[in-house]
Amino acid sequence: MDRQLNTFQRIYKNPYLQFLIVGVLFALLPTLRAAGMVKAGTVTVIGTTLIYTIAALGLNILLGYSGLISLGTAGFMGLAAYCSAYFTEQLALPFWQSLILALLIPTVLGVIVGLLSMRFVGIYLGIATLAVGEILSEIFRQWDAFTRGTSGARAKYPKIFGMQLDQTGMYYLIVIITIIVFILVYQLLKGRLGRALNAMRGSEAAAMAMGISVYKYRLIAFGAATLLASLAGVLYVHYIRISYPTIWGLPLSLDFLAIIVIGGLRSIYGTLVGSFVIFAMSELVLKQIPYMENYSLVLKGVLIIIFILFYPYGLAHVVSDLRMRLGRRKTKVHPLAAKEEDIDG
Amino acid sequence: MADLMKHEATLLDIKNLSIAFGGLKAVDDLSFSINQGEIYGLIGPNGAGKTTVFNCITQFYKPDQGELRFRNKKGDIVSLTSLPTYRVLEQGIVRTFQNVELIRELSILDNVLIGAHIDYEKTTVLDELFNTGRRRREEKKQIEAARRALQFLGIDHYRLFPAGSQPYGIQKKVELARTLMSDPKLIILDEPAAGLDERETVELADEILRIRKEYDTTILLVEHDMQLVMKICDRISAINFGRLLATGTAAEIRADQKVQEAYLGVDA
Amino acid sequence: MSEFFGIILRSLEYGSIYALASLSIILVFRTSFTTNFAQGMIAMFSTYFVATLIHKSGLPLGVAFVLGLIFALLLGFLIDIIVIRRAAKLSPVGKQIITLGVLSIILGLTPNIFGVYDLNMPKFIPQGDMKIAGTSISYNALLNIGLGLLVMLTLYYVLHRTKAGLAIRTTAENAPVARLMGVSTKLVTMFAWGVAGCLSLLAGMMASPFSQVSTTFMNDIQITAFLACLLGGFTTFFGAVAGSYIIAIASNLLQVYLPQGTVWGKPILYILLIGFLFLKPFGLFGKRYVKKV
Ligand SMILES: Nc1ncnc2c1ncn2[C@@H]1O[C@H](COP(=O)(O)OP(=O)(O)OP(=O)(O)O)[C@@H](O)[C@H]1O
Ligand SMILES: [Mg+2]
Repeated sequence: MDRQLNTFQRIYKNPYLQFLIVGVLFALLPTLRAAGMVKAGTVTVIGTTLIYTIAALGLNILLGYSGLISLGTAGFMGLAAYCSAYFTEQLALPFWQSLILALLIPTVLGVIVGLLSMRFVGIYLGIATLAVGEILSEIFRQWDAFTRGTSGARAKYPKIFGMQLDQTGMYYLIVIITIIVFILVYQLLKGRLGRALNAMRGSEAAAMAMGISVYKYRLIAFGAATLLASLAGVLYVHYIRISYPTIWGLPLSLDFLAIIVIGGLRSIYGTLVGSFVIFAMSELVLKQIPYMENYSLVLKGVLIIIFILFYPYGLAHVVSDLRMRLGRRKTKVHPLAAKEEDIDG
Repeated sequence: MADLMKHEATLLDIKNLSIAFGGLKAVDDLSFSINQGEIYGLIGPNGAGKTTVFNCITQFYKPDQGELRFRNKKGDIVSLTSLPTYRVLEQGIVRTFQNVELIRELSILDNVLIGAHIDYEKTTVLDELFNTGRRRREEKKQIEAARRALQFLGIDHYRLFPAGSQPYGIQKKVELARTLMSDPKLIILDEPAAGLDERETVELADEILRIRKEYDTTILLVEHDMQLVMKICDRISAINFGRLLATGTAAEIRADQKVQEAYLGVDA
Repeated sequence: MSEFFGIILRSLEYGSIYALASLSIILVFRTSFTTNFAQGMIAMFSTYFVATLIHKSGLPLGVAFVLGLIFALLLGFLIDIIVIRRAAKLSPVGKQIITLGVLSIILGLTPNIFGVYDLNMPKFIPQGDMKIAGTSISYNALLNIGLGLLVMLTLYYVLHRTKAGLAIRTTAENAPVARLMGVSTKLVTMFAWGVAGCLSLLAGMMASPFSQVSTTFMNDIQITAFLACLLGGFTTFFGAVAGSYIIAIASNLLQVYLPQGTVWGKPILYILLIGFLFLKPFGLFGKRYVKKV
């Protein structure tokens, strides 16, 4: 950013332009389908993948930037999905009102978990969020009046600005929201707030000495993460139009974790790429290969371990990682390396 | 309270400070005070409690007993013990750590910018979310300030490297640069010369003197390198087992019987 | 009154299961400095192994169990050697993510190796019960309670009275110092993972007759064991055991005395525990410490 760039570089290196181009590429998909070049199912898979990207981006703010692990992402996403289905179907609220409530309720809960997190030493947080996720799962299973239990809660394509969306319309909405989320997250994290979260993760002592209120920024991180998970949940339930309790369990939360570890901690494009690896690949590629489908969990686990150990910056940085391994100059540091105090226990 | 901060020139007054861990009295009834514009040294053998004193001043530890009064940026006298850790900086006290505390994966520039965190008062989270003009101007201003601090210490050309990838000497300077960002009244340095070679130590002495002058500030430092301490400190307190041995000028400390005993074998 | 007593008595059986599960978590925690999220999966996987030996190979329970213990021991060794050892330089959160990767691998392997059907697990003692102070309890439950206590006493003895135990404790206190003293921390860690595997299997064997052997049957036990460890302060073996019995009793009381307790008992218990830990983050027995900077 400090080097002099020529005009051409200045244009293609402009992050906003890049986001827009990505958005336009995704938006082309329904047209390609109409031309018979891709299957209808593919569009749905990619729409869902974008939805998962939004939730995973939330987890990336929490884990990647702030170093706070959460195993409850799926639970919060599910809660928002059920809320939106309940408000629009059972209570017949307009989509907008329902949207606001469905974002607000899980986010408030997420902030409460953030408050709890203040008291838990970092590594116990995983356990606390695991328990929270389990509590939510239990609620989804048991509270039939709210979730319709195992028969599933149904929802419709929404009506916005007086326009009734169909499946393709909903896909466009997802693309637009994804790109807006990318831009906002990029802006939010590229400056002071991003540095404060980084400081909290990298050295809590330094953060406090530099006037950063760990309390405030943990709440912001939890709030942002649950808000994005909730947004993803609402989009999901109005795109797939049904929600079952079994979707929102620990395996999905692990998928989000795999996405950001494999795609890249603290990277927006990494999160997108990770989502494609975890969701789109297994839907579009692995299912075509005999036996492979049965091993998708194994593959995910192996990838998580390999990436954490050897490519800790994820796919987003695989090329520069490789160059670093081959090259002499050490210009990168492992993002999850232990500090002195960790090793003594 | 009555006899605390009675002189206009007093910046920090430490009175009867005590803290214990389990049975161990790490700091024991310690008192000394620092005047504005001084370079003040705190010395003592390993485990004497020097870092613990710093941690009490900056509220990383809450002392068991004692008073800590500070004349803050606004000129008011505040009791530091009533503050949460993160609010010590805004009073005008900034510190470095004995074991360098940097965010290893972030660039050196970003690390220094973290030191400016509280200076962004006027930009809100919403300014950041929508990348308003105010935010962009503020960011530009701070980057310029950070680069000035880096240039001041001669490491501006490293600014885009991750902090953790640099040698120890550079990392120490990054920490120092970070303290300069918050317009501090008192800079607390915990063993700034540890791990530096002889040439770097001489450089450091010069830099500390220049910082006092150009940033118009006061410096309190812990250091084992006696040459450095004797050369730049206006006054020195020597402690052992958490207790004060002596306070005075370099010459007075060097001549002190108790200090010599505590440093038995170490050249003082 | 006798109903109340009966609840307490039956809670001891579940307490033993939780205690074994939480001991294996602490054992790994003290030597590898991470919370092993895969522990429940290790239990599930090796219990499946035993159940498969019984059903497919027709082995008697005792033989299958002994083979299962060897299997669990080796599984623990293997996980440590292949993965955990390489992660020694990672931050605690990095290691946690690694254990989640292990969880995913084991969960994915299970149906491929042992099939997709749930299996029945016979009890150690198939039938018969006795009366104590007006309530009846099965011989099997008594055996489980006894087995739990026996394992704990053995572990206590090994940790505090033998050389191997000393090596484990020094590793837990301070790994670099332990290495300087000539302790092979690698070996200690490997055995900790192996023994943790065996304890988990035992927990799985005790728990599976209550439900069936399935990929999910250890999930609740794993979470409860984690919470028991937190309740006990997450540092001492004693704390984890005490936490386990307290939670088992509390859980049974909630299920019986709460309206719709069987449905909502579990989430309410979790909420109560999280609330308690918010008030006392170092648990019942953990010591508060000031972080050095
Ligand atoms: N958080 C803590 N918990 C327990 N003991 C502590 C803590 N912080 C410091 N101590 C103890 O207090 C004593 C003084 O430690 P301190 O770090 O202040 O010494 P120091 O003078 O800075 O030594 P050095 O020159 O080696 O840095 C030591 O015995 C140390 O072990
Ligand atoms: Mg010190």
